[in-house]
Amino acid sequence: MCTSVILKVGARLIVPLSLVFAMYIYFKGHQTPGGGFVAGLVASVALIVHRMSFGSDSLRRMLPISERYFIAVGLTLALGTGMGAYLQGLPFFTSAHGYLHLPTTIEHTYDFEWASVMAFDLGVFLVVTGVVVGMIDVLSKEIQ
Amino acid sequence: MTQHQIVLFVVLPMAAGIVTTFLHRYRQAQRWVGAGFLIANMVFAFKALATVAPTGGVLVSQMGNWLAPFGITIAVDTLSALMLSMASIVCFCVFIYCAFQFDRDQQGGFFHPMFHLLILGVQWSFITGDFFNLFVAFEIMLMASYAIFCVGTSKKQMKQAYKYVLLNLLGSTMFVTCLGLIYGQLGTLNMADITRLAMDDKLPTSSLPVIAMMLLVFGGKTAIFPLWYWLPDTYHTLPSAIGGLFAGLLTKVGAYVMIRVFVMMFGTSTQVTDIIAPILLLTAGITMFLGVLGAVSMHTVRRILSIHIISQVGYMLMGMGLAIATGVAQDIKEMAVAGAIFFIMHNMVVKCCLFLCGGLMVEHAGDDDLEKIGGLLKRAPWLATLFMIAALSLAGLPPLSGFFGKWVLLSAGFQSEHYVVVFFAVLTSLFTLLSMLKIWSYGFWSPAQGKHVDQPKKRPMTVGGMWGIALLVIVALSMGLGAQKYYAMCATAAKSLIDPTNYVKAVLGEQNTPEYKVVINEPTSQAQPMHHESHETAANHDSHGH
Repeated sequence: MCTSVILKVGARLIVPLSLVFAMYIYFKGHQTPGGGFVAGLVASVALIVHRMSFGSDSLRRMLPISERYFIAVGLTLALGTGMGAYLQGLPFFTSAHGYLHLPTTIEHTYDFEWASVMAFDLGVFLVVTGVVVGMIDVLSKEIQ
Repeated sequence: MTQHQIVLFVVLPMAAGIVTTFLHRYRQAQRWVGAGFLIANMVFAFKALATVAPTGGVLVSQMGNWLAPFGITIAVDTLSALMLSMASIVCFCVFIYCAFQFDRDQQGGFFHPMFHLLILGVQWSFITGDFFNLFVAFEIMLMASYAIFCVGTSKKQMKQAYKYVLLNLLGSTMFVTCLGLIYGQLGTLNMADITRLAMDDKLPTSSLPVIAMMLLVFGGKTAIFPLWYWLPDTYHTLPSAIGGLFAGLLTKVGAYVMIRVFVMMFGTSTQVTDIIAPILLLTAGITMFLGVLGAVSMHTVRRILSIHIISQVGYMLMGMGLAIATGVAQDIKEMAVAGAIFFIMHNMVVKCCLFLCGGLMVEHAGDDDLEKIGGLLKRAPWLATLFMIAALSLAGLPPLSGFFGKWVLLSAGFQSEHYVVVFFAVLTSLFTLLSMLKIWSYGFWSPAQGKHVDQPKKRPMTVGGMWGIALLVIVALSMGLGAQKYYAMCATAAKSLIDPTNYVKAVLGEQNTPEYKVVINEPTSQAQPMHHESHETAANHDSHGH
């Protein structure tokens, strides 16, 4: 483990910021560029930076579950989104959507458009994170 | 089976893959769950076949309720249903074999999830009605097959795995390039929509090179004459059961896609068939003949069987070539396609069965080099019987299944006066018999040698594997003895492929499905004003709040 102080200090800044940014991309993704896939990549970059600077043990403490289960849970969510429509007699993956009126100030509300596809996107997010973090973890273990 | 249920062919294997991932520490549970899902899969495939085969109907479901040429369609017609049924049987039998014969190492890791995901890819490519989705299905299938390639890893196997991965990556790149170009040329990737364009003779001349290029892509996957070099080198390094699975499914998916694309989609356009048909007929002859010559020259069971795959692909190509050749009467075209479909089904079952037999021969004799083994007839008489039946049906002796497939293809060739291909097909049959008899006489009949002679007390457990083989042989026998029934279904499938009007109507719709009304009306009445309305209601809500 050859980590510099600069990387460690930087990581403390980068990791939470990237995770928040990943959340932002994920929520933005329904109507504008973004979505689960990119958010997953950003989140996994954050996790990998953490691993680079604090080592894999620290990453294990951060993610107590094996990345393989991330993939399985993500696939379950994605499949479940499709099955939700199917069980109501609609074609697979038919999307349900609506608006959430979120009060931002007393006078204004923010209409957040939710769609059932967001659960699918969350699945994609988990799969991408699981795959990237898992692969890099295995590969770098082999190098060490 | 209702329309939307066809999505279960994707859902079930995927669910099986997920569940077995969660259970990856509990081997026994993995097996039971996997078997349960595969049986359910088989039942649904038969139900789908029973629904579409009598009428030649098409089950269509539009993913996400998006209108056909824009959204992704999945459709099950008779051809898909036949392929699904056969594939699900093959998967189940291979699964039984693997579950019983594979040791802890081979079944360890993530073998079971990958097995189910491979089936997901295979079944998805059978039901998809969208070209790009076909690519995705192929990728899933290939990814899973890369992973399965490393089962019970030996150094030799890994070396060949590199070759396999590289070649398939090249194929995938070409495939996706083709799709991009086709989308640019035709403006659609929906199979039914492209079929409609071809039927109306609206294919631009500039799209012809791309369509011809697709022959390379699918030809590589199916292992046709100039592109088959990767197959004999890779398959024989695999454990037999995996080899059987790949032989029974992967190359046959390629053959299925070739029928779907070149016969159904572009078969009605003479400017395409003028290019493709001669190439198909030429490669058919060369593929089958060179393939079988290779098989005769080999000396290990798995090598003989792998090269044989290529030779059998030649017959399928022959059927496709005759089906789109110019100057062939309509009924002979239908006969040729029906023959090709029958042959694919027969080949899935029989080839896989022979591979599994080869696996059990290794269990008994410790090797599959024909020089080093022998006398298995006394040691394993039932295995010998089952092998003999499968081998003879591959060679095409009546009344076994291979005979009827070849009979239909040969008579279609005769009636359309393509004598050269017919000559090679007959010659190939003879050599096939020769190569099968080679395995028989060296492996089963010759003086006993091999592991079973050196350690006669050690009988391997082969009961589970025998069940898998026996099931496949029963299916193969039923295809031979009940050929009339199977052929009738193939003929229904062929009819709707030669004249795809029904398929196009079913997918693109002529207001015959109530589904479409919902889809068409919803966006026009709601999509535009929706945002304003919601803002208004929000504003109202606010003002009420005040």
